[in-house]
Amino acid sequence: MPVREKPVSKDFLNLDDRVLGIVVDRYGLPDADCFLPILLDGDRCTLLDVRSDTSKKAVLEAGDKRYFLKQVPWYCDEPRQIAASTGIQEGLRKAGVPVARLVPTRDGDLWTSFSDESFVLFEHVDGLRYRADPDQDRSAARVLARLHAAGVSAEQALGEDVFTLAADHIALLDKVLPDTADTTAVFEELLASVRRRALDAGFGALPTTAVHGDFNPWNLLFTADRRVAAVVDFDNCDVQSRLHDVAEALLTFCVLGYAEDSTTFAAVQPVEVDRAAVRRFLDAYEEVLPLTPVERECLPFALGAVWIELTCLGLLRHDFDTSPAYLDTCVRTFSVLTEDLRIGVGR
Amino acid sequence: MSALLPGVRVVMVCGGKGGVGKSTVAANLATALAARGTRTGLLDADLHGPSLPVLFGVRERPTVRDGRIRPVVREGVRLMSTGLLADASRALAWKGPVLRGALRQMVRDVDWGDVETLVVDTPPGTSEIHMALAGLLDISAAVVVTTPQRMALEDTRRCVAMLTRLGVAIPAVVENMAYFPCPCCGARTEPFPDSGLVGALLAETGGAGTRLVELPLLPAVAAGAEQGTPFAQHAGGDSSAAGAAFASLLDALDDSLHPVP
Repeated sequence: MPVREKPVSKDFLNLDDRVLGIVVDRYGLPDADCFLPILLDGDRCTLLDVRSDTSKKAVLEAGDKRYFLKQVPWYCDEPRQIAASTGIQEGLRKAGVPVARLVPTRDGDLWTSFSDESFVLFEHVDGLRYRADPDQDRSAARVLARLHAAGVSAEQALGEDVFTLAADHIALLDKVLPDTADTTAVFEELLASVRRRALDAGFGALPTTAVHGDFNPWNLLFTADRRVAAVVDFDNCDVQSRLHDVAEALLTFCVLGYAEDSTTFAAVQPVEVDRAAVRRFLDAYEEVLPLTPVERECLPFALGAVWIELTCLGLLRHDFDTSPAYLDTCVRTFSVLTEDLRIGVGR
Repeated sequence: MSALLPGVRVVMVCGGKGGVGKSTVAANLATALAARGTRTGLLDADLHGPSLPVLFGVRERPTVRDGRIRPVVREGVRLMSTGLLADASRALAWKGPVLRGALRQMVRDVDWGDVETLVVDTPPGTSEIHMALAGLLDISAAVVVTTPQRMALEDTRRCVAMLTRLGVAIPAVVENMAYFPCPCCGARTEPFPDSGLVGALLAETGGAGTRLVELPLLPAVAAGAEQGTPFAQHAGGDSSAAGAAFASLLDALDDSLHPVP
C-alpha cells in the first residue's frame, strides 16, 4: 500500500454527534447514544486516544451488546485495501482463527465511508492486554501460525514484500524529516544488502499467504489463562510471504520496547535481543506450521527489513531519543538481528 | 438519588468563570468531608482541563478490578479524573458523544464503593458537560464559586440561572479571594471593590436558603495546591481562617449531605 505522511486533521481523534448519527443509522443501532473512550483491558485502563493516535476509535453500547468502532487509518483507507483487509479478516474468522467479527451495515457492507473517512465496526471482545508472559508469547505464535495456515487469500491484496515496505518508509522519512539524511542513507545501504542476500537465498520464490501485516502485542487480546482471545487491527494485511508477520512478531514481542500504555516505541531501545524469547516464539510457531529451509535462511533478512520499517515509523512519530550515538546503536542492532541472530533463527 | 449511583449524594461545584478556584474548593470540600468521616468521592468532570492530579499530587494510573476502574485514594477521598489517564502532553479535545461517554464511564464504570457523597468538580461556565452530568446524575446540591469581580460575577449569574433551571439547590456560594488577612495584625484587606454584586447573586440563588462563605486569600491555600496537598487536611497557621470557611461550607451542606435513610 502507499506509505503516506500522516495528514493534519482539525478534528483529530474526535467523533461527534454527526458521526454517531450516521453510525447508528447505517448499522441499525438505535440505542447507541455515545462513544466510550476509556478502554478497560485487564487490570489497566487507558484512553483509546492514548493507546494509539493513528485513527479515531471508540466503544459503543447498544442493547446488551458492545461494539468497537474504528476509523481506517489514513495509510490504508483506499477502497481496494479496505476490501482486502475486511475480506481477509472475514475469511480468517470463518476458518476458525480467533478474529473479532466485523459487523455489517444494514446494506451488508463490511465498512462504511463518509466525509472522506472510512470506518469498520467490530463486535467488542473482552480481553486482557499483553503482559510479556511466556505463555502469551507461545499462544500468540501458535495463533499466528494458524492465521498463516488458514490459506486465506484476497485478489485485491497488493502483495508488497517487506523490502518494498521498508524502502517506502525510508523514502517517507527522507521526505518528512530531511534532517535525517544521514540515517536514511545508512538505512538504504543496510536494506540493499539484506534484500540482495534474501533474493540470493530464494526470497523471491517463497510462497505467499494472507498476512496480518502488523502482528504486535498491542493487536492481540488475551484470556485470563494467557491464550489469545482475538487478533485485531487488520488494516495492514496483505498477501505475501509469511516472513513479514514472523519477523514483525519477533521484533515486537522479543526485541523492541514500548512506552507505557501505548503503541509508541520507548525512547531508548535495547540493543540486546532476548534470544530465549525469540527461540520460544519460533518453536511455538513451528509446532503448528514449520518454516521451510529457505524461509529460515531468509528470516534474518526479513527481520532486518522490518526493523528498518519500524524504526522509520518510530522516527516519523518522534518516538526515539536520537542523540549522537543513535545511528551507531541502530547499526549495531541491525547487525545483531541479521548476523548474530541468524545462527539462532536459521538453525 | 441517581440511577447510576443510588444512595449517593452528589454535590456539584460550579462557577461561571475560569480561575476562580472551583477545583481548589472541590478538593478541599471533599477532603474536609472525608476528614469529618463522610465516605467521599471526587469526580473531576473538567475533562479537558483536569486539575485534581495536581491538587492531590497524584501521578499513578487507576487500576481495574473485575471490569471496574478503581479510583485512586488520597486524603481519604476516592478520586477519578481524566488527568489520571493521560499526561498533560496529550490534548483532550473531546466533544459531544465522546464527552458524554467519558462521563458515563467515569460515573458508572468506576468502583466508587460505599461513598456517601460524590463531589463533582466541573469546568467553568454552563457547558455541555454540565448538561451531560444533569442527565447522568441526580444532583443533590451545588456549590457556586466566584471571586468578587464583576467579570466573574456576571458569568456566575448564568451558572446560577442554569442550576435554577435544573432545579438544583444552591446551599452555598463561595466568594473566593474575598479578603486578605494581614499576616502580622490580621487586619482585613479586600482586594476587589465591593460592587454589591455578591449580594445580588445571593438573592438570585434563593436568598435566605443560600449561605455566603467567604474564603480568604491565603498563602497556605495556594501552597497546598502547588504541593498537591489540600490544606483542609493539613490546616495550620494562617490557614485557620480558610479552615473556618470550610467548616461553614460543610454546615451549609449538612442538610443535603445528610445520609439517606
